[in-house]
Amino acid sequence: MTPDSQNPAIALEGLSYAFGAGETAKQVLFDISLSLAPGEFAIMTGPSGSGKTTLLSLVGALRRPQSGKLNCIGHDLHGLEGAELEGYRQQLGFIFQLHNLFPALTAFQSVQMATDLHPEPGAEANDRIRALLTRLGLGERMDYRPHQLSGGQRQRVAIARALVHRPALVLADEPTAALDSENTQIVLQLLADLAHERGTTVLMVTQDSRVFESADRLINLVDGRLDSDVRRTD
Amino acid sequence: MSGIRRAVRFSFRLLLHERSRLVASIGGVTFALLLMLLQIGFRNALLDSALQLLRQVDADILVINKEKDPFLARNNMHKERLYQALSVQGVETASPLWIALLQWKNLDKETLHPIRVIGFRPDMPTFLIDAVREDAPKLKRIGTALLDARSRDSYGDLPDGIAQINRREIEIVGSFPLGTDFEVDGSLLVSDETFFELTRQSPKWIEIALLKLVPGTEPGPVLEELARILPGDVRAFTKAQLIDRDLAYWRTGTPISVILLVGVALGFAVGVVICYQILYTEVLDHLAEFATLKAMGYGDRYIQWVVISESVLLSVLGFVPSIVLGSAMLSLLGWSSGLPAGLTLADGANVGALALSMCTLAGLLALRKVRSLEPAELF
Ligand SMILES: Nc1ncnc2c1ncn2[C@@H]1O[C@H](COP(=O)(O)OP(=O)(O)OP(=O)(O)O)[C@@H](O)[C@H]1O
Ligand SMILES: [Mg+2]
Repeated sequence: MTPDSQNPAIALEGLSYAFGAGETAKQVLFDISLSLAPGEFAIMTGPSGSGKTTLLSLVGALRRPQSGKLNCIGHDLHGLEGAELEGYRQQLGFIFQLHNLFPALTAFQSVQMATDLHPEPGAEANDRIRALLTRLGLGERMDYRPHQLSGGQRQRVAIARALVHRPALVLADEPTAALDSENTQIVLQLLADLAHERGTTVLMVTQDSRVFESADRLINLVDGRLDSDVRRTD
Repeated sequence: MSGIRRAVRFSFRLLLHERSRLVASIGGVTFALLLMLLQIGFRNALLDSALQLLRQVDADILVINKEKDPFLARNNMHKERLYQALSVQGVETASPLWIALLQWKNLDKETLHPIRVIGFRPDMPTFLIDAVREDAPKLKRIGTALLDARSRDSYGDLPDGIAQINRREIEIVGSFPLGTDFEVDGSLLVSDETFFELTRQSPKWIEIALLKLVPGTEPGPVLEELARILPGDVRAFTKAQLIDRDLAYWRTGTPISVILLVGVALGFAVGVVICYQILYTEVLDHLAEFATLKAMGYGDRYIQWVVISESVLLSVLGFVPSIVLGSAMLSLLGWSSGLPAGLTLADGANVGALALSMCTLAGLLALRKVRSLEPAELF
């Protein structure tokens, strides 16, 4: 399966983005062209402020694109609105820099918020939640609320919430920043399995050079421009 | 499970999570509802007490001074009207009623208190109250009276059964249940002769004429005939008509009932503000989390259901204690004042509906914040 043999999962062409308007406008992304194939696991790096999070939020349809082409898993993100926008977001798994868990919800209930969006008969969803939390080392803590969990455990709950519904595209913003090396490996393995076994496209931002070897692609962003795009071959 | 049911489940989890905050919230909603319930209870007391005398007279048709509005206002008429009314076909009896406001002296404290003295003919059908029908013959002896058993304590005790009214001594020979109102602390029933003795009023002037019809007579034609033969200074009504007219008067025509309505509106406004504060803080404190939900693909509709469901839950949780507290406080008031202060099932339903709309309105206001929420605010 070569990236060019079928429709790309992410296709950016000449993408630019600026915060603000007029005199005070500050351009943070410049003419970025990039294409990820289904099942590719790409890691994006770059110095702080280079625009990585901004790029992820554009791909995740959390911001409106301004100029350039932006097509993801069959959707043109220009002018995406209402039910179509919600439907697109539901097919994504977004892991944020901040975990943003509701204090009122247990780990299980937080992850359930994701499966609730994809109703399926029977208890299959709940089984999947338990299996995933267990794989992430939270089997004993499914009924704990965020205040009873460590930072790393909360981060893993948020990761489970982003992955449990088997999204077509995973966008992860420094998902392993709060994790120790053992849990980092577990999460990376999880993402790699999703990409290689289920054909999930993964775009992950990280500064952690220890994890580069898991990726098929290494993309480097500097000052809002694509600096390098290396396909790794084992 | 449908989307709405999931939203409801989620809202319960949110609301029930912080117990101390929940208790404070329920307290606030209860307080606002209690305000409304008490105003409604007072209003009921006003309506019921103002109408209790009219409800207890034994009459199919009443002839009164045309200026007399409400029923408890004092406008008398010439006694001649009684006989004119009696001459109409279908009228079986016509009983006069005299009413005066006098001063009752509390013999312990030497203080004066207003009392409504009602004169009637003991041998004529006048009241529907059993105790009065039984004891009426006792009143034929001049200087005797029946005292309202629900009179306020302000009248004091009567160790030897002799009361002082307008400096005259009156022997209390029995009692009957009526109740106080906003004008007097109680009522006294006396015979016509005792009434003239006490008040020095002329027998030529009566307050009300109570007509009983021959059984089976339709009131309509009798009313028409009365209107035709009676001079323009009086008017005839069926008892039901007068009750309706009085209800309308007390409901809308009086400053006090308007004040009580304003009280209900105020309680509602207080409730909306309290509910809004609760729901708005709830949303504001979890702005990033709600934004995350939107990033996950949850729509505004879902978050609306969550907040609306929280408001409904709040209104229900506040409603129950407010009804319990409100009924208890009103019966305490009724017991201590003699006013018939209470709540009907319809009042409960009305306040329930008010609670629901109060919280929903607050929820809708709080939602304006969510609608402007952009998931990009997460960064
Ligand atoms: N909401 C915003 N309004 C204005 N400028 C912004 C906004 N968000 C980000 N920026 C600016 O855009 C640039 C890129 O920010 P971005 O968050 O995408 O960088 P990043 O590569 O994710 O950095 P980091 O590694 O520190 O997370 C930065 O200069 C930042 O100051
Ligand atoms: Mg960033």
